Amino acid sequence: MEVKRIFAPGKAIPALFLIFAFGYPVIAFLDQAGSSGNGSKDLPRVLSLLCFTAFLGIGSALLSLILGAPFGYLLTQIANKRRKWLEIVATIPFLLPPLLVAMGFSWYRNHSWIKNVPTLALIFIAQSVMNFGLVGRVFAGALTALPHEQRENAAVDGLGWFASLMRIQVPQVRTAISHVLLVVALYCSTSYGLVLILGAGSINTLETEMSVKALEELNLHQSALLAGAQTLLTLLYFLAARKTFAITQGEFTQPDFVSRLGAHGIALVLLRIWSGLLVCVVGGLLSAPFLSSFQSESGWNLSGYRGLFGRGARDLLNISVFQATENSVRNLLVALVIAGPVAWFTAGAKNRYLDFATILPLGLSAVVLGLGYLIGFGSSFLSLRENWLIVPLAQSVVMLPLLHQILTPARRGLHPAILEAAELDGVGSFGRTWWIEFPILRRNITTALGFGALVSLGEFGAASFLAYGDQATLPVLMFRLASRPGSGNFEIAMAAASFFIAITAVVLFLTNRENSRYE
Amino acid sequence: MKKSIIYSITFFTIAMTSIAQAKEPTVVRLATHDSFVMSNELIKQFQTQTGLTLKIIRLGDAGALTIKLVLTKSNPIADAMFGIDNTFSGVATSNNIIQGSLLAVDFGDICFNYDIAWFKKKKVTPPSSWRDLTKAAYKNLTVISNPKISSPGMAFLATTYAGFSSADQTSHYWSSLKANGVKVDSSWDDAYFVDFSGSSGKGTRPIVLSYTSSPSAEIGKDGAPRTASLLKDCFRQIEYVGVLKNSLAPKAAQQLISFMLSDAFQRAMPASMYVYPINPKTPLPVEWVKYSQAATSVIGSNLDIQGNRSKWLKAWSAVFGS
Repeated sequence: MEVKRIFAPGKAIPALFLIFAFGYPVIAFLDQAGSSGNGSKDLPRVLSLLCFTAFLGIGSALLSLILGAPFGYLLTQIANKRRKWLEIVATIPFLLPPLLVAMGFSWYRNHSWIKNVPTLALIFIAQSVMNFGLVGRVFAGALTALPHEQRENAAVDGLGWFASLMRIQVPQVRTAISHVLLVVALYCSTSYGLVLILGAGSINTLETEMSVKALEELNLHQSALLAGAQTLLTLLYFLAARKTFAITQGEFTQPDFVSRLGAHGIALVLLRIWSGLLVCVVGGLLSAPFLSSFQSESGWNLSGYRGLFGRGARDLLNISVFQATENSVRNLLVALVIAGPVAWFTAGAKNRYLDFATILPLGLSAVVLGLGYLIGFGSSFLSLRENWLIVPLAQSVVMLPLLHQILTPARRGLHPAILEAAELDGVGSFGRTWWIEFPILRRNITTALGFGALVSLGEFGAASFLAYGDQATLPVLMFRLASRPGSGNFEIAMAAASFFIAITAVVLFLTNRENSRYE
Repeated sequence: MKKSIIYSITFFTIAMTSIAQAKEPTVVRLATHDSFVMSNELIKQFQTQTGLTLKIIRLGDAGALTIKLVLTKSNPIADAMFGIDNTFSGVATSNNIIQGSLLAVDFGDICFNYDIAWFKKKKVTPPSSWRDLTKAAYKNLTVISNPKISSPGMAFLATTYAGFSSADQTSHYWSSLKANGVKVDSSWDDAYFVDFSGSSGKGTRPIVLSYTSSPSAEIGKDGAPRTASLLKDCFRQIEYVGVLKNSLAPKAAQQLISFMLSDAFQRAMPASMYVYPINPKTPLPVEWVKYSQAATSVIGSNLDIQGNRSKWLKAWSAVFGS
């Protein structure tokens, strides 16, 4: 029945998009891997990497929850203005390219006591520092949306704040938590640059192994097998998240002694200290590239920032960092125009097959997507490879899962009676969307567009395969500058990173300001 | 009437196709790796000489460059290639991506560098070869890059396989090196710029895996070099150029290859890419002549690196536990 419904326009459009922009290049890659005849398969190795990657993904997601949930609760308890600033600062790392976050941690590892932290622990810490802000923000948003009467009634019944939180509120927001943990687990499982830089080759995941097999050993058979394992992992995460959703109907239980331990005031002081520490870590992380951007061999100066207008030391680049920023901004606008409507449709489709297909790109390696685009869109009948549009097309696939995850709870949570009433009044489907859904969900749409824009701006994996020549993007140039010898290039890379962080902060600020208007 | 329209369309199509086929494109696309550097002056010189427009397409490191050219060989991404090296040339040849043959364009020698001042201050004699690095006098002094993800690291791994008569001896050497406190970094950049004491990072280790060309970049204000290379038994990395099969502009690609082998381009290579020009008659910069001579002996270049990569890395991982 559900399969039949996929032919409705609201499902057919996203389905066609996914087939064209995601399925076709992936099949092109698998076809080439099958016919290449290169390399052997090592199934036990794939299984061991699958287990380790799942451990890393789930562990990082849970650690992000442990860091983010108390932070999120604090957000619900403080004044709106301060809350906005805390939200912005804590969310910045999530929206930065993982490569940049890794470079920040790497800088501290080279210059402080962090060098004694075991590599795997450092990766867990880095992943959770990247994601705790998102988890906290979603948790806070979901708690705020609950009716006040529930807490008040619970208090009248003698339930302490902690029991009220754990027994009444948390069970009701588990859907939102499972959605955000799914995203975080997938991000952490497919993280490449971060694991590579901090792991220094000693930590291997499905993603890093796939890159080595495809690009170093040219073993496409094993790469395809690893890509299959990554898809399986995505499916398992997806099912686990749905399962969590299925058991969210928490029961109203009686208070126990735990609820009476400690006063709310003391807990809030501890939460403030906790959140303050987290914000300090984020602040320290973000300041590393900023401080490095002023340091050169000849002392403190602005040569890194002047270099943003040039082609790097020894004319390393094809275009300047500013020209690359222009490319990135153009790409993000086009990618949003493509992915925005598709995500709107998938969020409203209520079709589990489409839900899974939409989330799938998040669990796919950038190596497979990038090589798939190079092969699939290079054929004579579909030659898009030389066109600049290929980068925003790939980025629209990358940002789609995040837009879908932000819009889905909002669209599906909309009370059916509102739409039914409009239908009874003779409002058509377009009118319902334009006059009713858009205004009500404006906050979620703004957040989705803001986050989507930043995902596109920071997207490195697919762009590194497709954005070459004068089409290079900002993260591609940052990586190229940072990985080439010479302190001159490193300063420019750090200046570009500072510039990127500033753009991220501004976009988050604007998104939050827009949202405040609708509250 | 219908027939005449069909004939006209057919004639027009054939004519346009012939024109399109006859006309050689005026843009020549060069696929290369991320380290490729060509100055604006050289680009202008090439474009003025040939009337062609050069488009440079950087595709990652040498491995990524090779795989991308292999995967797109039926409809190549570029017309000419610069930068497939002797560790990947076998893949390029076996996959038949080059029209004609690969031509050597430059080379670099991978070897250890040491911090002259450190050894002078501590009154320790510098090592004479990489084989000495397992000696107690050099405990905790060496930093290398991981062979799994760094090409100099891989080249040194190959060197050790060429330097011993059996795989067991090579493994024993690596165990001794580990026991002697070698540090393994993720990249050449980290090893050279962070942990090496003789460069800008002012790290703590006075011996680093790098290139024979590196000392020319470490000249002090007094004109004296801060570092020196161990020139014996180095690994020679040779880079190639070639015209890509199925190129849209093979003649233009050939002109570009000729330019890269010309004196003007070859002279610029040491300063722009820190490599030695393949033409032995090309004069080297003064600092190179003084402080960055090529290796006195090289080993390992004849090994099948691509074929052995997986096996060697497995053995290396067995020693380093990752």
